Amino acid sequence: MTAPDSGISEWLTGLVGKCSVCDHLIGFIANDFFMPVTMSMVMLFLWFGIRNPVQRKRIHYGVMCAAGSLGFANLAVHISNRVVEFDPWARPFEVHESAHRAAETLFYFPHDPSFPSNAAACTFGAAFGLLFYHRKASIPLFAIAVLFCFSRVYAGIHYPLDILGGAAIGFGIALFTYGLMRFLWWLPDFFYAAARKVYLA
Amino acid sequence: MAPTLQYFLLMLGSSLGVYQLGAAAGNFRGLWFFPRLGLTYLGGFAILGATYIWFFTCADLKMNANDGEVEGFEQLYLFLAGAALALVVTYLVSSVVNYRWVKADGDPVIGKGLEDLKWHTVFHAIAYRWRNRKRGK
Repeated sequence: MTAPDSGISEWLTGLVGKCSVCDHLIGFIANDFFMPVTMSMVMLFLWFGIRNPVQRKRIHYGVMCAAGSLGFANLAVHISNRVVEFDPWARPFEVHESAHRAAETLFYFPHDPSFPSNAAACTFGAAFGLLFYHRKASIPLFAIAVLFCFSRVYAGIHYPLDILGGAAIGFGIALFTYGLMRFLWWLPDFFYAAARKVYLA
Repeated sequence: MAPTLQYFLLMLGSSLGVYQLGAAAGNFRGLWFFPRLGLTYLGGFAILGATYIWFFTCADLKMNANDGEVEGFEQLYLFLAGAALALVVTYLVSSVVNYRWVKADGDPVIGKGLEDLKWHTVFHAIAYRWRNRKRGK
């Protein structure tokens, strides 16, 4: 079965090969390392890089929420893929010739289900997690999430619906993590106090 | 070089650079490797940039993260290990480099966690806290 939005994917992956600079750039963004590492580094920077102690404390709780959301989102997608084995449609590169060529040029051929996108769930989960505590600080994380997910569609790895599904899971998980942190308030407070002892907060 | 080791070194190097950038932006002078704010920013960018350039030109970027090269959970613990080691290195180097810069009995802002590092190195802050505890303060 193909995804309902396979036409968009076919059109977008058809652009691969027409601009080698764009292909190189998007291929670089799409790989498994650049954007995830950059996102981690942005969160590390935010942890230390704020002068105002009150703002910094909010960011610290936001980063804790973002990290928790990222972990839970990864787990949720893992459960969907391996336990529930929910796999509604094949990957774009298995269906369309243009997507196959795009994935071959820019990425590799992953074996796990297309829906939901793990990349979208994790990156949007982290971005929404931080958003609940500090709107401005979450902007770079959203920018990374959007770029990363677009590159995955361009590379013929995901359909836009996979991304939307992943982002929705990310939002739900971030909301859950935020609620959990409010409910089990003593746990983040404990981590915060422990971090203070070793000059981390 | 093994992909896991490459990834660990990426995390270690980039975390070191980002700690310098964060310490500069947050004005935590006790964590700086360099004597001035501008140099700390420059040094942080240089460490981060050099590590990124090294990794992203040497590593096989098409390696499959789900096929036993550097798996998702492996990425997580390698990140945690790299970031933790980078933090220890930052604490050690900044405490040695800034040894003469701060006085252990200087500014009274002690006991506020990270805020202490605006005027003290980690070693000074720990020593100060330890002495006060012995005195029963």
